[in-house]
Amino acid sequence: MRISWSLIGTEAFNTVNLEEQRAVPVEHDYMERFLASPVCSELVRMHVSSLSNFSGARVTTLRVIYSELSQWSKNTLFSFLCSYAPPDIVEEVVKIVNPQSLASVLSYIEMIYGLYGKPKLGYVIDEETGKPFIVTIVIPDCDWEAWGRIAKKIKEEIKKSNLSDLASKVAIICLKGLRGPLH
Amino acid sequence: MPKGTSRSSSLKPQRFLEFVEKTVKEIINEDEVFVRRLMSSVFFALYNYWAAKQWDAGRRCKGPKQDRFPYTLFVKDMLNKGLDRSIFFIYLCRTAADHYILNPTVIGIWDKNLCNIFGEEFPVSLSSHDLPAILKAAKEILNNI
Repeated sequence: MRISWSLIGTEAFNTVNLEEQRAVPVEHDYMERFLASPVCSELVRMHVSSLSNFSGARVTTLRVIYSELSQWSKNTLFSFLCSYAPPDIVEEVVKIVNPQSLASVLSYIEMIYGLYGKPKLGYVIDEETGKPFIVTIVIPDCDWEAWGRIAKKIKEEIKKSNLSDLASKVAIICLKGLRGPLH
Repeated sequence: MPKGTSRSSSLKPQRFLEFVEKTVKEIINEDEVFVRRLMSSVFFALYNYWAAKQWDAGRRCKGPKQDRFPYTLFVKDMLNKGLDRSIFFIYLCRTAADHYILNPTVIGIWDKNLCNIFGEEFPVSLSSHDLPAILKAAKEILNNI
């Protein structure tokens, strides 16, 4: 008797052309951590609840998150950003960058690199003019080596998501990494 | 000064970085003036070269000859290329070296949200031990200008 066999489904998964693959659902605790934030306003909670399918969505790209956040109002976005910095800082920051793009990037970083700690939002002042000129996203616990890799990956993702304007206005800073070379 | 049409060929900092590297190896004392001037000059050598490349590419900016490019544009362009680590590290050291007298010092370029992280808990100290890391970062930036 002759038995023939083949691996079922191997042709459906091409590791070379990953971008052409259907997105794989990712398990994460994004919503739990988001809703647990003490500074998250009731308004945000209401909007997030209405996006109840968000936690089950295929959140694999920044673009997907950006699309989800496009349904949020200005106030909701502002409240969301306030979970990363005090309101007066957020007011300054949104003068530099688009709040929807920024909120998307913060969500993406927290989702993908959450193990390095909750990101913090701020800005850097130009020493010579005294004016804010770039937004900072500080990731607390990643070291010097990881900093180089993570910043490049985040910027690649920003560009892939057609948010290129953001790439030049946001600095990804890893606190532990910065402590490394500066003794 | 050579009067060629290409500003970037005149301002390419490759040899200067090699000079700094050699100087760093020969520094046997901790003369802070040397350390500060080397840090600052590495940043501005890269910035000059970047601006020259912009000029050669036909971009015009401020000043009577439209040849004054704000260094904030340089920082932003490097951020756009994903060189956050290298440009931010060099920019931070350059700011401390040029604008602050105490060593270590606390840099006041942060908003109050980040002051708690970078301020009291994060004094910036400048020493010759930082120069190799600065040179490494400078080479990465140079390769991407």
